[in-house]
Amino acid sequence: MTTYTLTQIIERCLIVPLSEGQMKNLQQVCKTFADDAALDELQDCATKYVFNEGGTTFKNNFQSVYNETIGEKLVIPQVVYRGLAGYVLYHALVVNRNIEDSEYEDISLFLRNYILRLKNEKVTIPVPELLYDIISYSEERRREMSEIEKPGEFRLYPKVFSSDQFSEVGIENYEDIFDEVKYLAQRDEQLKYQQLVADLSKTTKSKQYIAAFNVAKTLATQPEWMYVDANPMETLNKIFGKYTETLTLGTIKNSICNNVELDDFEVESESSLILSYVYDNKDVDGIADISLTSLEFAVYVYYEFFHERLIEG
Amino acid sequence: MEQTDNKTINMLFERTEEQKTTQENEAVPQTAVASRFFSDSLSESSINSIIEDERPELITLLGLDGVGKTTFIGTLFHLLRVDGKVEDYEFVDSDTLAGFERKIFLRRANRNSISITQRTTVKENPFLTLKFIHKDTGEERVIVFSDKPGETYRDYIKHIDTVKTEKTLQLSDRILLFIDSEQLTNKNYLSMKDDLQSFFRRLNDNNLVSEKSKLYVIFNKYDKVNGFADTDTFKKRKSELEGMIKEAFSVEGELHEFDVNSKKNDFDATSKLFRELIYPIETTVSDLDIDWVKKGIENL
Repeated sequence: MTTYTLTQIIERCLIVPLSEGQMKNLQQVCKTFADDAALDELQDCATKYVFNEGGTTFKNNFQSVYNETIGEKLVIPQVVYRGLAGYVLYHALVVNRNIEDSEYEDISLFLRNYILRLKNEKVTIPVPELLYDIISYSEERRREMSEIEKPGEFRLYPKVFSSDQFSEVGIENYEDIFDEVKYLAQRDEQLKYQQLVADLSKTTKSKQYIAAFNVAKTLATQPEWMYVDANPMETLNKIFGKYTETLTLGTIKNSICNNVELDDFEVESESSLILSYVYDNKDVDGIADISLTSLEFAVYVYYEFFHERLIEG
Repeated sequence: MEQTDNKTINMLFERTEEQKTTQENEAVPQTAVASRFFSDSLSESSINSIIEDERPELITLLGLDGVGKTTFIGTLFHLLRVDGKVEDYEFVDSDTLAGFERKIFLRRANRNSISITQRTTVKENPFLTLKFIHKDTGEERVIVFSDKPGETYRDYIKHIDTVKTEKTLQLSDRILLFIDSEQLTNKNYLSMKDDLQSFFRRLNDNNLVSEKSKLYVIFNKYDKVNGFADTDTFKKRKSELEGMIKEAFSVEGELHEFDVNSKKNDFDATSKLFRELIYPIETTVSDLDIDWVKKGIENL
């Protein structure tokens, strides 16, 4: 893992670097701030750092922590707060790892999905490399969560086929067979999922984008086990990878609205840009003009539904 | 009349107070007042104060003494004053108008078109700013030029301690490296080559060259090469320098070169270069490697 320093980040916000003394003070406050940051504060940091938006709460809180810790008023150009927000985010998530895995996954997905906004724009992010670990975390967690651990000994299977009750199988303590039951349930869910993918693949011969929306939604929301697919991008690629045509999100949305009977899905996350556009007609930053292939569209929609499901859970 | 004058003066003072209050509210660093005159060029301790929500682009003019860096910046400002715009960007303001004016004032040519521009003195502040607005999108674009005296860079060769004071070169978005073409034609060539070699080595030894900076090589005073440009000697020397530059700045492929003339009213190459500099270096989510969908699909 590459380690990034506050100096590296702040240098990319300014023309002349700050003095060593100033950097030392800021470093100290950033660490204090990162140690105590709550999930919503980190989300605020992410928005400030990546999109240079909002961050008033972060700025006020940072100034007050600086005041308490260093004992003087903080006087820095506005843009430095962007770098500080990035460092606090990086320090809390990657260096400290002091939040729950599911919370980290939430921020990771929030950022991944929200980045779609920048697709048609010129982007300036000081030291964007520090986002790599954060963005990829949700996939790292997906890989972990989708792993199926085979139990050391099968007590239930295959005796269960010739038995009618647990006593006949010789099971007295249910805890003893938890791993085995979990394994069997996961395997079952995987098979169902494979069948679902096969069935859905048949529905994509025409109107790919409508199919992409439906398939992505079904695959992200229907399986009981939300991590059943270790690599949804690969799954979607098998279905939509052969199509190279691109359409703008504006055209895709019209096509969906004219051909699909939309349910009353409530979009919770600010980062679910496509879902907000389709369900609530919110065209954030002109995303209507972004062109995507049906595969890219399916991937974005899948992860937006997945994130919504994660938040709901 | 006197009353009116007093009123005007009071209004001016009121406005100053208003500005002062705004500045205090926005917590502008106190270093912002470091210039000698209002809107003079800015120093290392004051340049950060012009930054608001976005870091401006930093373009460093790099070159040893007498290569025409200051003349170049004077020409740019002259062109802006004449045209009021570059491509789709309208020139709207500068925090360093007096700084530019001084450079323009000092930029003189005699009847033989020989520049007698007074060289930037070591004490002069290096930073000049230009603010533009895109005529269609309203996008604001601020460019900061760093025009340090060539003597400062020469000091980097002679005194190892001075190079350690360099704070901004490695943070430059673009570097305009100036070469005096005339010296490729005369007996000074070897000495110039040695100086440049030592200079580049010094920069590299101190990690002052960043791969993130886009390099432009300005072969300045090209008109003074006269008929020499087509000779084998000139071509060989230019090629030698190009090789040195490529190695020093880790450039793969062709260098981005401009042959700039120093004749009065011959601004074609400078204009061409400026038309390129005015457009921000395009950076997209793909360039930054955070377009995870595109990247993920490519890796399947």
